[in-house]
Parts: sequence; structure tokens; C-alpha cells
Amino acid sequence: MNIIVLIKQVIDVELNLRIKDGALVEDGLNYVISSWDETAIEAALQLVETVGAGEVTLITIGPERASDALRKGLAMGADKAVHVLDSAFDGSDSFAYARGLAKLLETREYDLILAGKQAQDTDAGLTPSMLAEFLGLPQVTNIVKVDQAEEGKMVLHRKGDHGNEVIELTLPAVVSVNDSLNEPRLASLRGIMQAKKKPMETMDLAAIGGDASLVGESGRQTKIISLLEPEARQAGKKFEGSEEETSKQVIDLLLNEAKIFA
Amino acid sequence: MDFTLTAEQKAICDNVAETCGKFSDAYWLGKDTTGDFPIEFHQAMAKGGWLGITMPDEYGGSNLGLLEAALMMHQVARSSGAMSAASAIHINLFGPHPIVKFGTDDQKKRWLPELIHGETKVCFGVTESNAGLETTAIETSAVKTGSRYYVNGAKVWTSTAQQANKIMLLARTKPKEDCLNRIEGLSLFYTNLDRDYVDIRLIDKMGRKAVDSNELFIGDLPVPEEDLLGEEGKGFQYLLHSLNPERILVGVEAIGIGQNAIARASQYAQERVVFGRPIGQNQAIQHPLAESWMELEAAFLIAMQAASLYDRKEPCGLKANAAKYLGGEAGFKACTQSLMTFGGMGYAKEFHVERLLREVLICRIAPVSPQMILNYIAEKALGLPKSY
Repeated sequence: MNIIVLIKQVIDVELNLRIKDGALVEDGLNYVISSWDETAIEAALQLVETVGAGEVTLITIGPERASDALRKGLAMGADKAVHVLDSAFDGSDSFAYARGLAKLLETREYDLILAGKQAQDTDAGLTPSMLAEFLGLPQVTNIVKVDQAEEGKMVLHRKGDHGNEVIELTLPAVVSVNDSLNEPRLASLRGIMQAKKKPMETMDLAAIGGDASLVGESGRQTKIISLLEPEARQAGKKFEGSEEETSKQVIDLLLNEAKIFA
Repeated sequence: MDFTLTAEQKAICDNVAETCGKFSDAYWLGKDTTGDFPIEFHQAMAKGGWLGITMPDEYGGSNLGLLEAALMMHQVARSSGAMSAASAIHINLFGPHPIVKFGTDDQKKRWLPELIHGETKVCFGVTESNAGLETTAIETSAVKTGSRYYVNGAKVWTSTAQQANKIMLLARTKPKEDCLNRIEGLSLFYTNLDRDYVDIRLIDKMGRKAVDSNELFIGDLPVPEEDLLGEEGKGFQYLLHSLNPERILVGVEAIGIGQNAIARASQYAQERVVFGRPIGQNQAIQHPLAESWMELEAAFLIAMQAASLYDRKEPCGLKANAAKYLGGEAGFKACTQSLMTFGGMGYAKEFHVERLLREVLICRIAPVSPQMILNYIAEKALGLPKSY
């Protein structure tokens, strides 16, 4: 089974992020693979291990530093990587990225495209669906379990609003994963050392046959015009006095301010 | 002069930090309380292949240099496990070096793969109570009868002997009075730590509680001649090869612990509000932490320089000793300052900085005292007369 995994390098949200003048302060940031995408890599590695044949190819669109993310995926065990590196993609939204990816994947052969259900930075969750549309492929989102995978067919569990749906899917297809699907493996030292010998292809827009008017700022349909700090949490209220007095105060606030019984 | 890490070196740092990050403050505080060996951590590091980082690849290692080992140990010590985490695996990196350098192919085949996979654990029987820094004064003897040596004596400060099934043992095979010079007549063995002949007594100690330190009483321990490393009588010279790496590693470990401490202190200083402002807004709090940050960064650079010299097979003694001295002192100062930043809370175990202070102290004491390093630098770098 040949699997493409789409990964995105994002800002490590565990560090303190600062916003200034409607934009993120880039200084001192750390970049990681979006955690849902790591789940997708693990899922791909497990599928190839289970089926016993095939290979895992990682694809990312991103700046120079995004190659670190690819190398980490290779160290986890993926077989090869493609880095689409072109400043023409600067300012892309999900739509423009999906169009770029579709262009690249048009000419490639694969059984399955896996991706995280959303990226940790934008939380948009649009790219896999748009890509499926551009490629004319079936897709399942938010999967939490793989029951069966064989030539041309998969049975998956998708987390829906009212419980898990068990879905049979014909391949090739686009599948996006929920992070409860698995616990991504840590790269071993051996994996890290082997990663540098694995093929990593760097391609610009022309190499993937892309059109500069369809990606980046000219290809996007939406634009983030400003970033705002999340509202600071308000301080709690402290009640003092006897149990009777404080419980009265609490009930009064629940009834009249929070209106939880209304 | 290029200070950039390669992609692999950066990946090593990230992946070690990630592996160590799976072990929480609560895990390490628990180990500090019970004194239990961090076996889960040791296994995770073995599984990732980290124990073989400096071992030859034909035996399952990764054949990397001291620089990579130092980057790794810096991250390990920087994690919540501090010296307990570092010491649980540290010995694997350069302890078995005499096997790599002086062992026969058969010995390497017998011993290295098990060490790399974490299946055997080795301890070091070198120091004795009457021979600390003066290693050549050791009294433990090995007398050959037929195809076996019989070892008698006592060792002290042997780490991980409670866990170990192998021991790297230094013993006198030729009486001191028959030797031409003091470094002669000592032999190095790598053999089974057979508890029928070795009494192992735990030393209760201040810090690094999860990794045991012991006294060993050895009585007629039989050692087959195939467990002798290299030539008889040259054991001390073989050990010297591991000294500089050990100093560099202890230096970066102290630096890692200090960096962890000041990160915790800075976080606390931002959150703790007294008289209407975070205490970290006061220069009396900021300046000592800023000073520690600079000292740790500077010590780290000299450690990296020393490691790079070692890997290029250039003389590195001065820089290796300086790295251990500066790292140990800066780490200690950073941990002390961090505890003081927390004030009373720093004295409580749940804030972890008192543990880091207890953990870092060993890096000042071992493997060589700061005073002996000053003696060495005065003599070797400044050309002053030897003082001891």
C-alpha cells in the first residue's frame, strides 16, 4: 500500500506566543510537526507494516525550515519526502494550498492520502477536504480507528456527532485522522541517522506544474487580516462569611447573574 | 567558526527532549522519594537506541562523537530527571570505551550489543576510600592462578551496582613496589558482578537518590582471563581515555540542570505577585537569573568546544576541565538562585527546585573537585609550579 502523508510544520503552541500589531511575534518560536499530522504519519507506518508492503511518502509545502519536519517524519520511519519550496506559496490559504497539492498529486500514484484532521496553528481543517474535491476522490474525515485495509478498500471508524460511524471506503481516497487514532512513535537514534540517507525531493512551483496565479496571495480566497490575543480569563469571585451567608450569595449569583436556571 | 548544529544534531536534541518529556515531575519526585531506579526511563532510552550513541555501528550503536553525546546528555539533564536521569544512562556512553578501544573482537561481540540494548547494566569499580583522586593508590588486588584472577579489596562510590550485572573493575596485578612508575601494574577487567563474592552496600546520600551509590566488598571474586581488557598492567592508561569525555559530559549535565532551574524560577517570578506586581519585575530578582543565564550559556560553549576538539583527536584536557568546572559552578549557582527566587516555596519539594539543587551538587564534587581543576589549569595553562 503506497501512502502519501500531508504534513504541516507549525508553531509549537506549548511555548508562550505573543501577538503584536495584529501579527505573531516570530522571534524565539519553535516549530514542530502539527500533532494531528504526526498521528497521520504513525497511521501510515502502521498500515504499511500491517499490509507488509508499500511505502510512505511525506509531502509538505513550506519554507526552508519545513524540511526539519520532513526529516523528523523520515526518522520516524517514512520512506521518502517531497518538499514543495517556493515563495509563490507565501500568503496561501487552505484553498490555495489544496490547489498546489492537487497539482503535485495529479501525476503521482498512490492508494491513500492521509492527513491530520486540522492543523494545530489555524485549526481550519479544510485542506484535506478541498484536496479530495480537486482530485475527485472520496474522503472520510476525523477517523479514530482502522478496522481493515486491503487492496482498493478500507473499513474505518469515523467520530461523528452522535457516536462512531463505521465506513467502508474505496481507494484511492483522502482520509483525515483524529489524534485519538494512535500514539505516534518517537524517532529512534537509528531512525535519525537513517533519515539523512532517505530521498528528499525539493520542488518549486514550476516543477510541480503549478500556476503562480492560483496559489499564494493571488490564488487565495480568504485572508487573515489580523490576529487578536484571546481574552484574558477574568478573576474568580471569593465569598466570605458563614456557610449560610456564602451559599446565599452563590445561589443569588447563579440565579440572577449566570441565569443558569432560567 | 560555525556554531550551527547539523540537522541530525538538532534532531538528536529534539528527540531526546521529547523522550525525556514523557517522564514528568511527579515521576522523578516519586523516584527521589523511594530511591527506586528509573527503570522505565532507562528502557525508553535503550529502546530509542540512545545507549549506543557512541558505540560502533557494527555492534548496533550509532558511532557518533562526544559532541552528539554531550548534546544528548545536556537534554537529558535538562529534563526533570536531572542527575538521576543522566546517571541512569551516562555510564553507557563512555564507561565501556575501554572495551571499544582495547577489547578484542570476541570481547566486543560478547559485551557491546547487550550494553547497547540495555540488557546488561555495568557499574564502575575504580574509586577506593583511600584512593579518590589518587587513583593509582588503589589497593584492590587481582592475583592470577591458572586461567583465573582472584580479586580482593573494597570499592566505594560505585554507582548503579544495585542494578548492574557487570562491573568494569580496576585492580592491582603487580605490587606497587615492583613497578617502575605509579601508573604501572593496574589492570582493567570487565566481568560478571557475582554477588556470591561481592557484598554491595547502599550509601544513603543527599541527592540523585534514584541512582544508587554503593560500597563494594570483594572477596576472592574469580575473574576468567578472557575478561581482562587489553594488556595486564596497562589498565590505568586505558581509563585515562575516558576522563576527558566524562568531564565534558558532567559539565553539560550541570548546565542542563541549571537551565531547568532558571526556567522554573523565571516562570514563577512572572506569576508570583507581591505588592501589586510580579516579583520578576524587580531587578533584585531579574539580575541574578540573567547572570546565571549568561554563565550557563558561556559554559556550554566551552563544553561544545572541548567536545569538538576531542572528536577531532586534538588535545582537549584544558577545555574539558574548564567545561566541568564552569558548568558545575554555574549550574550550582543557578539552582541556588532559583530556589531563592521561589522563596519559602522553593524549600517545598512540590516545586522541584530544591531537588534540582540536591541533584546538581554532585557535578561540583565529581569526578574531580573544582580545586583540583584550578590546580591543573594553573599548572598546564599558566605554567605555574605543580602545587600538590
